[in-house]
This record gives sequence, C-alpha cells and structure tokens, in this order.
Amino acid sequence: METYDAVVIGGGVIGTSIAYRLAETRHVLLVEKTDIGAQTSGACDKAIFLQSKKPGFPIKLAKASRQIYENLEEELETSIEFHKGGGMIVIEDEDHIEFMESFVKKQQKAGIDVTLLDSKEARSIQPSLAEYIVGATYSKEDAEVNPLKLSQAFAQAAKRRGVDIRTHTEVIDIDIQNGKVVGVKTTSGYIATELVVNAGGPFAGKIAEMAGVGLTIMPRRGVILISEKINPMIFGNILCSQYIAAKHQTDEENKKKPPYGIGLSLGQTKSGNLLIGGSREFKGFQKAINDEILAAIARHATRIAPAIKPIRIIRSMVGFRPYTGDGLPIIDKVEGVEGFVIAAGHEGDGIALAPITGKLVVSLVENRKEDQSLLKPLQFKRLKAV
Amino acid sequence: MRIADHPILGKQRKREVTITFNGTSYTALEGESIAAALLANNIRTLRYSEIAKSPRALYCGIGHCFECRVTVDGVRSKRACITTVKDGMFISSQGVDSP
Amino acid sequence: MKFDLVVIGAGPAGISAAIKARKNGAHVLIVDENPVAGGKLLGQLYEVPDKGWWIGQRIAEKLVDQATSIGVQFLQETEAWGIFPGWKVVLENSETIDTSYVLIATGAAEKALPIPGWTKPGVIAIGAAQVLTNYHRVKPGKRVAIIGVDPLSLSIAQELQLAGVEVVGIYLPPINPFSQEKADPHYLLTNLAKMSHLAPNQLLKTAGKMLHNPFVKKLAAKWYPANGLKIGNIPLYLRKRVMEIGGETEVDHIRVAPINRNGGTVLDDSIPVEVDCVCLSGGLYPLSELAGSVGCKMVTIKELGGTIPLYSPEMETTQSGLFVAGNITGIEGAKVAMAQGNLAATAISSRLGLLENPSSALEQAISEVEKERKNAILTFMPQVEEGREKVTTMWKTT
Repeated sequence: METYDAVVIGGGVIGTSIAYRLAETRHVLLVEKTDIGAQTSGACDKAIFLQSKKPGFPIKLAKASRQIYENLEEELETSIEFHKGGGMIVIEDEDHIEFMESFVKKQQKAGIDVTLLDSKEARSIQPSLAEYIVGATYSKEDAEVNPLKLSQAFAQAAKRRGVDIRTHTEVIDIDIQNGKVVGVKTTSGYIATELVVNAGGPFAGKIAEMAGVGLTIMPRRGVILISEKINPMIFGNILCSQYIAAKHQTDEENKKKPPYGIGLSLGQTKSGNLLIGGSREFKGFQKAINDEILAAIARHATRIAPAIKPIRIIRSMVGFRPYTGDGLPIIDKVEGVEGFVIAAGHEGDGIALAPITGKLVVSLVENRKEDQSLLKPLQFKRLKAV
Repeated sequence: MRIADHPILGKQRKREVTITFNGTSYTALEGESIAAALLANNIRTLRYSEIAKSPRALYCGIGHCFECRVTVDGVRSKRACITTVKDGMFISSQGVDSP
Repeated sequence: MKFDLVVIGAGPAGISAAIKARKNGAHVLIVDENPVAGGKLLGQLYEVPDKGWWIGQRIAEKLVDQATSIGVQFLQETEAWGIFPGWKVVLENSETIDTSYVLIATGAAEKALPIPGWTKPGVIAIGAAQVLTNYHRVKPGKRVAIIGVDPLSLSIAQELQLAGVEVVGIYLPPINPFSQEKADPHYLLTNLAKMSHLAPNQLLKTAGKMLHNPFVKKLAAKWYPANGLKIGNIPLYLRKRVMEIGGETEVDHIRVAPINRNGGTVLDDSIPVEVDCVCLSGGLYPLSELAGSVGCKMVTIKELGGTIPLYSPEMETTQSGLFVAGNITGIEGAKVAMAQGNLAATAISSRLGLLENPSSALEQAISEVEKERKNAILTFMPQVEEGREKVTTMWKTT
C-alpha cells in the first residue's frame, strides 16, 4: 500500500503552494483531477492588488502574502513574471467619489501607499483611459504575476522537494476511522495518510463531504476576455470603482450595479495580450455563457478605456471562484475529523494569497504560535456560525 | 513568382489593381488575397512580432493561425491570407510603430 | 428573417448540405469567412486513375453555381464566432441570425510542426503552398523543401512540380514533442503502405508498392538509401532530418542531418541546403472549437485525427438540432465530406417535415457515405474505419 505523510487535494495555485511548503518536512502527494493550474487558477487575471483589499485583517493578510512574492522567483528558481507595475482604480462616477475617498483614507491608515488622482493625472499614467473619468486611486505597490507560471513554478519546486504529483486523478473518498483520517481513495488507487489538505477551490465542498464535513463554498462564475497581442498600451493593472463596490458593498448599497456583476479588471500580459474582466455571477458550474455577457464586459471596458476598442478579442475564459460569503478563505483544521485541513475559498484573491496560504497551512499543522493572528480570522467556525 | 501558364489549369486572365503596402504601391490581380499579391511582388514579411520584433509572414494560408495579420484601410488584424485585394487598398504592417 | 438551416463553412460538406436541404424546400444560409466559397476544394488538383484531373476549383464553382441558382444564400467574408442554443448564430459585428437548425462544417486545419526557425518568413504550412500554387497561381518559392511525409505532402509536392516549382526534397522533421511519429521512418513506411492502395499520385503509389512485402517494410527504414529515392523528379529522404531552418530575416537554407542505420541523427555530418521556402506538413486535425464552445460532447479519437464532437448516425451532435459534417468529424477526402453533408441535410429536412419517406432517404444517404469511404482514392488516416466504429459505439453508450 502507498503511504504518504500528507495528501494535498487540488493542483491550483493554492494546492501547489501548500504541497511545496509541506514538503519541507513531509513526504507529500498532490492529487489533481485535471491538470496543474487548469481550473480556477488558469482562468483568472494576473493582478496582485493590495489597495483593493478591505481595510483591516484582509489588508494584513494580503500584505503578508505580498511580502513573500518579493523573493518568490529566486526561491522557486524560475520566472513567474512578477512585476511591480502599479495599480489603478478608476472612478467613473461622481457617486463613487465619496466612497473611494474614505476607502483611500482607510487604506493609507493601514500603511498602503495609495493616492487619489484627478482625471488628468490618471490619464497621464494610463493614456488609454476615457476623458470623462472623474479620477482614480493609484498605488505603486500593486503588482502582477503570470498565474499559469505560478502554479507550474510551485509544482516544479514541490517536485524538486520530493512531492509526487498525480494529475488526471480524482479523489473518490476519504477514509476516516475513529474520527481520524487514515487514507484517501483515488481513481488510481488507495493512499494511506494521516493528513489530508482540501485545496479544492470551488470543489472543496464536494471533497469535504467525503470526510463527512459540511462546507459551503459556492462557485462564483467569472468571465474574462482575452485580446490579440499588441504593443504595450496598458501599464500595470486597472480596476474600476464599480469593481470595488461590487466586491465590498451589498447589493442594497451598490444600487447602480451593472448586469452580470460586471466590474472592470484590465491588464496586459508580458506577451502582449489584454486580459479584460470581468463578471461575477452565481450560476453553479455552468461553463456555457451567452454572447450578451461577453458584449457587456467589452462595452464596460471600452467605455472606460476607449483606446482598446480597435483591438481584436481572440477568446474568453470562464473560471469558478470559490466563494465563502465573507471574502476570506478558510484555512483551518476540522474539529472532530483529525488530520483533515481545509485551505480553500479564496474567491478572487487566490493569486494574491497563494504564497501565504502555503505557509499558513504549515503553521497550522505544526501548531506554530507565530501565525496565530493570521489564522484565527480564517477559522472554519466563523462561517458555520452564520 | 506568378505561374503564367499552368500545364493543367491553363492561363489566367484577371484585371490589375493597385495596392499600397507600407507606403509603396504594387500591382495586384483582382480577386487574389493580399498575401498572394505581395508574394507575387516578392514580399514575404507582413508584420513583426510584438515582443522580439521578429519578422512574420503567411503561415497556414486558411485564416486559422493569424500570423499574417495586417492593418487594412485602418482596420487592425485583417488576415492577409483570406482578405481579397481591392483597388486603392492601403495595407500596413503591425508590430513596428503602430500597436 | 429566420432560416431553417444555417451552415457554417462553405467547403464541400457545407455546400453539399445546403444544396440538399434547399432542394428539399428549406431556407438555407451559408456563413463562411473566406472571400470565395469552396473551402479546401479550391486548392485541390490531382489526377484520378482513368478519370482525368480532379480540379477542385472547377468543382467548387459548379457547386456554388448550383446552390445559388436554387436559392441558397451565401454570406462570405463573415466570421461566425458563436453559436447559442435556440439556435442563434452570432456573426462578427454582433449581428445575430435565428435558425431552426445549425450545421457546422468548419473542416480541418493543419497541426503545427515546430522546428527551430519555423517562424521565419518563407516557412509555410503545406496547405498554404497548395492554395498559393493552384488557386492564386503564385509560386510559394523558387526552391522549396518539404518537411513531413504523408499523403498530403506527397500530393502537393507533385502539384508544386507541375507548376514549375523546384522541390529539392521531402525530409523528416527533427525528433521533438510535436513531431512524434512524423519523425519515425518505420511508422511512416508502414502507414504509407496502408494508405497508398489506390493513390492517384505516382509518388505515393511507388512508395506504397515498395512496401507491400512485410519483410521489406521491416527493413526499409534501416536500408532505405541514404540519398533518398527519386520518385518523379522529387527526392524522398526517409533518412534525412531537417534540424533547423535558417536565414537572417527570411528563409535562405535548411540544415539537413543524416540518420544512420541505427536510427540516430548524425549532427556532425549536417549540411546546409539552399532554399527560399519550406513547407511543413504536420497532418490535419478537425476544426471543432465552435462545436466545443456550444457544449457538444467532445471525444478524442486518434484514428480520425483528433478531437471531434460526438455525432449520431444522422450527424447530429449531443446538442439537439446541431449537426456536423465533413472534416470536423474526422479527416477524410472531399467526396466523403460531400456525402456526409447530404446525410446531415437529409436528417435536417426530415426533422423539418420536408420528406415524404424520411427513413428510406436517410438509409440511402448513410449508405452513400459508406460507399464514398470505401471508394476513396486518397486516405489520410490509415485507420479511419476503426475510428468511425468507435464513434458509433460511443454514441450508443451516451
């Protein structure tokens, strides 16, 4: 019988980051039902925003993760196209000014280097923007990474540390005896282990069910358009205040919300393609989309950045972001099922939070004291209580 | 480079038109693709890649690979292999000065 | 206006289907991104034993004339970028067309065969050489090398020569993750023998004949002459690989390395060969993205050339009302594609209530596909019959 010290379920940015860290002291198996980074982690944008995070704990967590990014390329010994290109949140609407002003103040208080620009200043940084915009917030600290390379880089570095990676292998059941994990049943056989980490992203609920644990993580569908390659025209990443409003306000507060939960997320990859997002909807795991969503995303983006209008869209991608309800992931052990750890529910912050998630899972299973302040707000019971 | 008299297909009679590519005028035959017209004028390079700026040209010939994209009368990324020449057409390479 | 049938792709399958459905009384529109209807037919040119030349362009013109005369509408130079259940076909510029049935007949594209230097101007896919030479009547180059040995490349080699292009040779690609069996002389010899039984082309026939003896086949890869066999005037090198395509800004040479008796490539003995054009032949694969994006169940069947939408005996996909015909269902010749188009159109006509005796019409259309397959003079996939059987079995279990 095959035996491992730990089995990580899920080969996205979260699972590969965890496997890499756990391998410092353990013999780890990573099981992925499709391919590395092929699901949620392969259908997202590239931005690592700090300024868009909620003031308070979310900022603290994002900063801790961002800190790891500073030296991650050297650590993983490969390029992940990490680049401090800066980030901008465009304010389209006078109505959003007040909300954004107070948002910026809170961010500055939290130690984020962010400033409020008027329309002209914003357009001097991003010449593609429309003249009518009211202003923008700007931070040099915002960065970006190639998410496809990130999962691969973590996976390769994990392999070098002795992690076995089994792709196209699905977990069918989690074997629990006397309240303890003893193994997992997969489509390629049984694996004995005393530690299972559920990094299934939007599929984490299904995996938790196999351990008899009720976990509600909903798939929140996001659509992103991809353009042909062009010379550099978008510098750093751009969000619109609608995106922030959609992310942080309730529907009640955000009355002017556009259809399909659309908010701009615009950036240009190193190879020249524009990534134009995006929508936020609850549609189960339905991957088929209608042409109206695509057109609505394009309309919203070209209104804010008219210069991208003549650029050809070559395809679109659909991702399912793991939604917990309060904008934070769950990184916790499960009471009553010894050896079962959940590390999922990062929604749209998976790329930003992948580095810290790996470290936190290690702290958690090693019962280290130093990360308790970061782990406590991510406990499972906060959501169970609702 | 034109095949004036094909042993099986015979001769071909087509009206001549004038096109402009990167500022220079060339003679083309009505009904042929931009890529064919330029190749008949010994021009292969149609654009430059975005990052390395290496020269690129017709590849698949059926509109699938988009390697031959050019700006035609101000419209970006028309495929030279499946876009027919028209008299007075203004064609330019992408990837050099324009985005 | 709502159409009964929108056909995507004006190749042999699409036009044949449109004609059939229109004859039965359906309102039909064909959407095609090319300036001229005809698809792959436009470049085809080969001699059929005892029957003379197959000039694809003339056949395409006849089909288009026939279709137009009976009222099939053509929308050329128009991309269809999406199909949505109901059915709606969305064109470029967001125009939407409503239709009861959709037939996707998008055909095939060529697999990439990346080789160092392959992005240089002057390197083209073998199909592009065919269209340039036979349709546009422009030589792809003065001295051309072909990389990749298969029925298509051997055919087009002769077509190039016919048009006065000097073909310096047909070579193997280097061994890399993309070339796979294309780089294996033994595999190539085995399959050429299988596919050449009725080949119209002397090059292919000679190669095939040589290999009918299984003993010869086994040894052929090893004892094939290092300097190639000249068939017609074109050298076919099964013991030479092109390692690299060179040239400052455009192609001016290829670097050719010999393969020794043990199958190893002798890089030290590589030499440059002067050419101004290189044609890569990686083989064809079904162009099925459009069907995949609508949510049709897709299956990968190697014998048919790649991933295809699973289809019923009547050519319907798992999405009710969405049909397929031609190379999107697997790589075969134009005549099979035409018969498949007829079959799909017959099934659609039957659904529209346009046929008096639908079951016999369908039966006949199905048998015509089988007949064309059996009589095909050019086979692209050596195990196409097995591939089709797999589809039938998979459909039954879906």
